[in-house]
Amino acid sequence: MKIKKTLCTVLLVSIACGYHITYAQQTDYIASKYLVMFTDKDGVEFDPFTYFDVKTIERRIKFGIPLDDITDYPVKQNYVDAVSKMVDSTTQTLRWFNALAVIATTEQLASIEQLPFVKEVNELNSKAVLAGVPTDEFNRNLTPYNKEMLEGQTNALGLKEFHEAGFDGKGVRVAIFDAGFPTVDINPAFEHIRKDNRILKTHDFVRNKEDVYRASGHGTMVMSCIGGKFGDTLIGLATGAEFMLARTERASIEPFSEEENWLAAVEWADKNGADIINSSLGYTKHRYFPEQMDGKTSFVSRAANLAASKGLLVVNAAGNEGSGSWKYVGTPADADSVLSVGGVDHQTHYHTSFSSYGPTADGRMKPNVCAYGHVIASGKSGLEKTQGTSFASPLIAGFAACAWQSNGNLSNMELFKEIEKSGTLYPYFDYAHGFGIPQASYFIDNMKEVDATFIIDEYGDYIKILINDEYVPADFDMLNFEDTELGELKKVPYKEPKPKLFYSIELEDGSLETYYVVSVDQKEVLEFKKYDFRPGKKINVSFKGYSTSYEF
Amino acid sequence: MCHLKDIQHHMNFRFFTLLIGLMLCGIFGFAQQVLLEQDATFDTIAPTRGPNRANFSHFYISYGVPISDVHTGAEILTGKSFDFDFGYRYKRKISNFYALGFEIYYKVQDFNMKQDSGKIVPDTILHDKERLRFNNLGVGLYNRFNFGKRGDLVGNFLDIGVYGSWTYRLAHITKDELPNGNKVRTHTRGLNYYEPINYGVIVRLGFNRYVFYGAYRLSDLFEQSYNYPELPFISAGIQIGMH
Repeated sequence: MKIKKTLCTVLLVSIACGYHITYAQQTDYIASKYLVMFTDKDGVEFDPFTYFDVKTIERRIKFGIPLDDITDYPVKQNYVDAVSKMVDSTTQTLRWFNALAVIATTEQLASIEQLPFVKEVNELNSKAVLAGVPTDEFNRNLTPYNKEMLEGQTNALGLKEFHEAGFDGKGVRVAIFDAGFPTVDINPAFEHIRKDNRILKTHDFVRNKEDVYRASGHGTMVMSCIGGKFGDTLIGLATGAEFMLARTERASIEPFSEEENWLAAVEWADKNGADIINSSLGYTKHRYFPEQMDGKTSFVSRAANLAASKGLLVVNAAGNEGSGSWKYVGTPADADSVLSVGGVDHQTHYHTSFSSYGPTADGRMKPNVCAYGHVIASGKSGLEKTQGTSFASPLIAGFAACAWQSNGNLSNMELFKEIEKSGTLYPYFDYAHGFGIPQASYFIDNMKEVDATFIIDEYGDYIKILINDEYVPADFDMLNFEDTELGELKKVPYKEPKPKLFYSIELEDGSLETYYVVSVDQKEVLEFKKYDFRPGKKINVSFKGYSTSYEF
Repeated sequence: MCHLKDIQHHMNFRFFTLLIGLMLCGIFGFAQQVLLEQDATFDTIAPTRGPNRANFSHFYISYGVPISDVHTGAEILTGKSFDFDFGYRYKRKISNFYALGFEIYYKVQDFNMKQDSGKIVPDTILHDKERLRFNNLGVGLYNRFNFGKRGDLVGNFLDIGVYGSWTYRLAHITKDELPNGNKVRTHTRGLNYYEPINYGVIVRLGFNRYVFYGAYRLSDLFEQSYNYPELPFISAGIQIGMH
């Protein structure tokens, strides 16, 4: 009975105190990792010529970016020392945010907050989600189906055009942030890169060591989609690029990570002359809400935008939440200056169900472009079939390297815009595909002229979308399966998919109200009643590379 | 804040969208196949329900075992006894640190009793196998204390709560093998020596959908007039939130 009374008392007290405790604990940090941000960098000296790689200096001079600004200056050492003495340990010193990542107890934190040079303290407790998961399928020797899939992932972007023109990303430096790069130092898919010593820098920000050839094989597959090749078959487009490998994530199955590794890595990439950053990672529900995906809230978004302001092109996977409860792009894919990449199905060539949707919480279009979300990549021990926007992103990073090589005078944001313009849908866009799949031909021919493939016709109170006769499919094959002798369905190399027509309803402010993809079976594809639309609304249509609009 | 005018506008929009949809369905009914359709305007409305939003509810299943203690009317075979729950849990977020909630559940408590001289519940007759199975419908109330900053995620938490349940049926189940090799299984219902109302306290430690719990029953299982020694007061196990 005594135990019962004690338990009852404890319970009643806990319920009674619940409200009181909650508000009392609002400012009481329980987790252990924090970002301590300082007020100033007064009196700190900085020499960009000794700190930056020569390529960083060249980039900044070339594009008129100041050789240094206050974000490049180191954190004041006396601030770092003072805080370091008060905590259990520190993890990263972050120049761009003038901050120190620490592991501290609640009591230690309370003391730190009292320091006059501490501006604010933010809890760092987030987890990243790799935007791709290896499937079970594994093949060293590709089946005809997988071989066609592999060729498709690069040909869809215009591999042949780039390589015939001699563009393979040579001279462009690509930094990859991922969860590990096992076998990159021995894997035959990267032999051509190793032979030329084109892996310039490596750093494991999780363990603070140089060795990154361990842990999750996700980064290995991602790298192969940028510049890997297996024999004569190319996996990615930028086989001539230079590489910097940063391990920023911890685990392989469910990666646990802190954003500060990403923040430290982006500074490292800038310092060491990276031109392009590929990040196939996204931070979502572990720390944020969808409405916070506004490109300004998260540290990684702010860091990505800072990187862009310093001349780097940041390419990031949109995420794999399209069919999940989160649904939208994660961060830093939400950042304004990040080229966010969605995934398309390799057979249908439109949005694959898992690819995260836009827009951002503040209504901006994301993703910006898209690429295959189902790919053949080189894993730890061979070619593997895998899926995720993790692999669409490096395909675009490789594309960007080739595009930049083709026109080195473009600044990073000019290149960003040109990649968007090269999309198969441009100027049409939607929140599943962005501007579509970028095309190398745009950079080779420097123009994109497409004859009209359809017309928008008015018939009294109606408007109709009529495609040109040559695009009316006479016959088509919906299923890419065939019966085997055993009576089972077997995948076969896909045939030309049915033509797709993209259309959207655009509001007066330029945002989309609704958007659709429909398969085209006949000449008269769509019909609308004019009086169903208020003046100012638009219907945007894209078909076979040609896009136009009708305004009500 | 959402004004009435906005709501009306939104409803008008939805009605309008529905009309357009029906119209398009008519078109596509005889012609095109819609492969992708997204309503971007609707999507940008922030929800109020979610793992770390104002309201959250989900189903869960739970499996635990009674933990023997010294004051029992029979030694319980822990590995062969179980508590199984299937329930619905609601959480009302008060702050990032604190939430209140309730759950309603169906619960089966199964006590598999060791057949030895120490067994005196419900009687001293020994069988090959014997169990008491309580079928309950219950309600729980709990305080939830969350730890760590998080986004739209249930996160790590400690629940402290109470529960009360109504035992709507008790079954006494025995199994015996007769000397002639025949097996006899009895399933006796309509018993009246149990307390229909039970209550107790529960503590849960949760990591997103995975929850470990320990429960302490404050009430008696058996009606006092029968003067039966009690079965274990403590149970512990794991719950899985279906979210």
